[in-house]
Amino acid sequence: MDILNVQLQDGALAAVFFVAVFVPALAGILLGMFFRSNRVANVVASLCIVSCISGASTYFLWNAGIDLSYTLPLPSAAGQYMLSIDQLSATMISFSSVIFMLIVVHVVKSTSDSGCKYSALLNTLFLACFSCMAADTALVLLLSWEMVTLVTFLLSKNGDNEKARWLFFVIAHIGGMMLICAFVYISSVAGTQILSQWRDLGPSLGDMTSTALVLMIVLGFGSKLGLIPFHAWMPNLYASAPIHTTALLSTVCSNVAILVLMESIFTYIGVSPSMSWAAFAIIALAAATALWGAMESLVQKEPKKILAYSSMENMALVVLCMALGAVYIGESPVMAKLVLIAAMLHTMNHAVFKSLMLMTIDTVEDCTGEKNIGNMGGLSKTLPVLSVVAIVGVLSMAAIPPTNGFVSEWLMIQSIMGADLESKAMSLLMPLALAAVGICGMMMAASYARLYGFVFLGRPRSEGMKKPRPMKKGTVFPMAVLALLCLAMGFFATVFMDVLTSGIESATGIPSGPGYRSVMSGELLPLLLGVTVTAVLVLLLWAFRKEKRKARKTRTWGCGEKLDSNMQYSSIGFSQPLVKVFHPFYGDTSVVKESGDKDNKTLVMEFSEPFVKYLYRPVAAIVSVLSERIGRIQTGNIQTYFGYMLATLVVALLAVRLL
Amino acid sequence: MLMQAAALILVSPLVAGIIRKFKALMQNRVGASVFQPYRDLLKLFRKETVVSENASFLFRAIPLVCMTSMVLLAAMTPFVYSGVAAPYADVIAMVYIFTMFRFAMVLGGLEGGSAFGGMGSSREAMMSVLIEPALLISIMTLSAMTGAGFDITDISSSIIGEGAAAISPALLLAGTSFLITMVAENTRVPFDNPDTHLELTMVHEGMLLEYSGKGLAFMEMASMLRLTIFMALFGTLFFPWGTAVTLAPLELATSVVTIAIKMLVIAFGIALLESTIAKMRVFRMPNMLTASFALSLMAMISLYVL
Repeated sequence: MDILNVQLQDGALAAVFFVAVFVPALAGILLGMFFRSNRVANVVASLCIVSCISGASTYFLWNAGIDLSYTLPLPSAAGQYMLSIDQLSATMISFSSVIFMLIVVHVVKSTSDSGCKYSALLNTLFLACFSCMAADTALVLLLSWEMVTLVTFLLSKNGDNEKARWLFFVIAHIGGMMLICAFVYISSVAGTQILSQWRDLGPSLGDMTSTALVLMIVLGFGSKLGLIPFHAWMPNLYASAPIHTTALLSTVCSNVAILVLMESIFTYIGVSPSMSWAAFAIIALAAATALWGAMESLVQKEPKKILAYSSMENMALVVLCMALGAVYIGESPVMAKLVLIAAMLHTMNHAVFKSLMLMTIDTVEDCTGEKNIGNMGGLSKTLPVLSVVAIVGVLSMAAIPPTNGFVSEWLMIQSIMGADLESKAMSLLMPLALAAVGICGMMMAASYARLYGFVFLGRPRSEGMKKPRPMKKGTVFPMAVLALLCLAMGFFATVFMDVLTSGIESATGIPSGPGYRSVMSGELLPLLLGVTVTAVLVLLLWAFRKEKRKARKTRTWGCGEKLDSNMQYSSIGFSQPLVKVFHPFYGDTSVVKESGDKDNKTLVMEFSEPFVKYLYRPVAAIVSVLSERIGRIQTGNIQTYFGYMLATLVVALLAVRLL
Repeated sequence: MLMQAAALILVSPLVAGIIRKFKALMQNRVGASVFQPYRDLLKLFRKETVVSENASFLFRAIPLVCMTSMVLLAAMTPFVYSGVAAPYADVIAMVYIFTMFRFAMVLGGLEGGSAFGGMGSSREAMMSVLIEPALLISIMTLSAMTGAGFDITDISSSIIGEGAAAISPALLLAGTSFLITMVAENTRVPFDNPDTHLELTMVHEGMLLEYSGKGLAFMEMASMLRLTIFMALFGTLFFPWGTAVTLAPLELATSVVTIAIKMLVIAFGIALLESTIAKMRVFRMPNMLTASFALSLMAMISLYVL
């Protein structure tokens, strides 16, 4: 036994681990490239699942004290291909692998998007996400982040959605460019590419530079997370891409972004007091994003777009928490720890309930053929199992106790209010942040009530909803697991928080001194509250179980009329009062459409993204005008081109000489 | 302390009865006995349940969920004694349990597919976006002001301990905001009319339209309890003088008397409001609610500035 141990700990186990993660997925990619049949597609997906399971073991291996690092013996022009896993990334890798696996299981069971190529790309995406989280050199980090973007771009192909895809591609690359600049600059200053040797580089970078770098990194990852104004790609891509792509993009890829963002700010660069204005700017941006996402989600017509804006809101709250962490870290490190735990926990919770809800909505669309929430309704009578799963997801998105969504929002509010800051300006920010979180939370709750209410409750509003096809066999399994996770992470939140704590401590350098529990109110509260809710509910159910007569079923009361499917509240009407209250933000929403008939006009509500209208379109117009002007110098005459080259060379040489 | 939660639950129909009696007297009517709500509830419990054929399993569960959330809140509300029975007495959790109640109500309104229910839910959703943050902030102001952290039980004792010095702008602003929130959250005039089912301006009653029998009894009971909890919270957190901080018999006796007086005063105020003011137009409500939100925010900010 001893011999075995010695042998295993000699780096061999790490090699076995990386082989177990990479080889099945790579084999899957190869298979997927050369075959086309559906059976092979399932094999490819199964190989991905095998890789995911190996990935899920990361945390346990790390916990067993095994040094998980590996260098690929391949030469490269810039640095080495090194992987190394620390505690925080081990936690996130394990967790994300589980989510990834459940999504792949759903792919296999629903088979709506499968096909060898799709499955092979899923394998690639898993490897890209894994190596991005495990990266130990800037080279690997940037390469795999670029891979994530490219693969999600390829995965999102679905019929005629070129516009949405390309918008995503362009915005993600604007962000990617910022990241490349930032990381290349940092590695040039640090003198090494190896990320585990980057530690608090702030002083050597200088105050201004490090603040600028932090902003660049936040915006760079923000382009994927949907920070204003980079969110423009989200609603359309969510609505048009295959659901599993969306689910992966919104959960696993966001986890990657948040993890690397966290490590970049708190580990690599390190927070200095001079960054506080940047932290304010990020807090303001994140709060604006969250409010914007909440408001827009209320008026969306497609359930998938509601979820897109909800992702935006959730990720903005996570970024807000991180910025708060940066504000706190100098003055009260314990609070910083708590707020960062809240951020990471919310990221994990979001991954669980968002993938659950996206799968649910996919099942709804698949079974009924409807995409517009205005035509839905009444599904809980015909698909009762799905509606049970969905209600759990909706409750946790809306942060209703005792689900996991509640726990992370509870932690957020505590950490906003609990801080005792020296500076008055900073303390003044706290009530405003609290107000933003409070309003967002309630708006999102209204939006989720609308989502559930108009999909599952009421009377069916179209033929497809009246007689939905039964759910595909086995699709409920991953959803049920996720729903159980929603509850389990709500009841046993402290377990997850404890796991996150030491990871966050080592990543941020906060001393483990006073634990986060010392500043947290009621450390066992999630469990106690959960148990009490369940107990009281069961008690009431038991005490009033006796029914003298069986409940009688009748028609819904409709003032004596027989109600048809349109004689109920509509989803767009549901959010009208809120639109009216917040009308300055929505702009002019009602449009009168004239048809050829003189007496026939229709009033429709249209909500357009002002960011697209007032920011993206003008910029695009300017760019195309400019490129047309520049196009004039392209005469097609080869001598002119030689002239250009000569001029460029002279200018470049002069510039190098003079600077 | 469990007894105080039980007392709160038992006394809540009486509070509703007293408000109705006050209103009747102000309108020169004799009015029903103050014990009428108990009789109504008992009658409802015995009646048959009629369920809409469009309603799902959730519809049967919602009254229980609403009642559960109110029982949980009753267990965490200081009433006569500043301590509470609940081990989860956390101010943030309190606001989220209110949200849980609301969320269940809103979903319940959409069950059955009635236009009334949908309208009620829609308006409730609008109001909640403005009410809940105000509630959250005004209660958080108290916990920040007293330095008691998030534990409800510490708030009243530390305000009492400070004596008259505790009457600060923050307390007054937060208290005012809480009063507006109380009226709005419990859907009383001028925000809503609790006595009518058929006005097009209704909010709360619209959502209750489809319930019957036991379900309706639970919903009614839960809303009476909600009002009582709010009154008790105002009387013990925002104006806590007189509330017992120890379990000495004499102190408890005075506390019972003072809380009774406080609740009678609030009940009188509500009745006066309902007899003298007309219900607001739906889209004027946000103005009032925003005022409450702004007051609570000012309360919180004044804590840091002053």
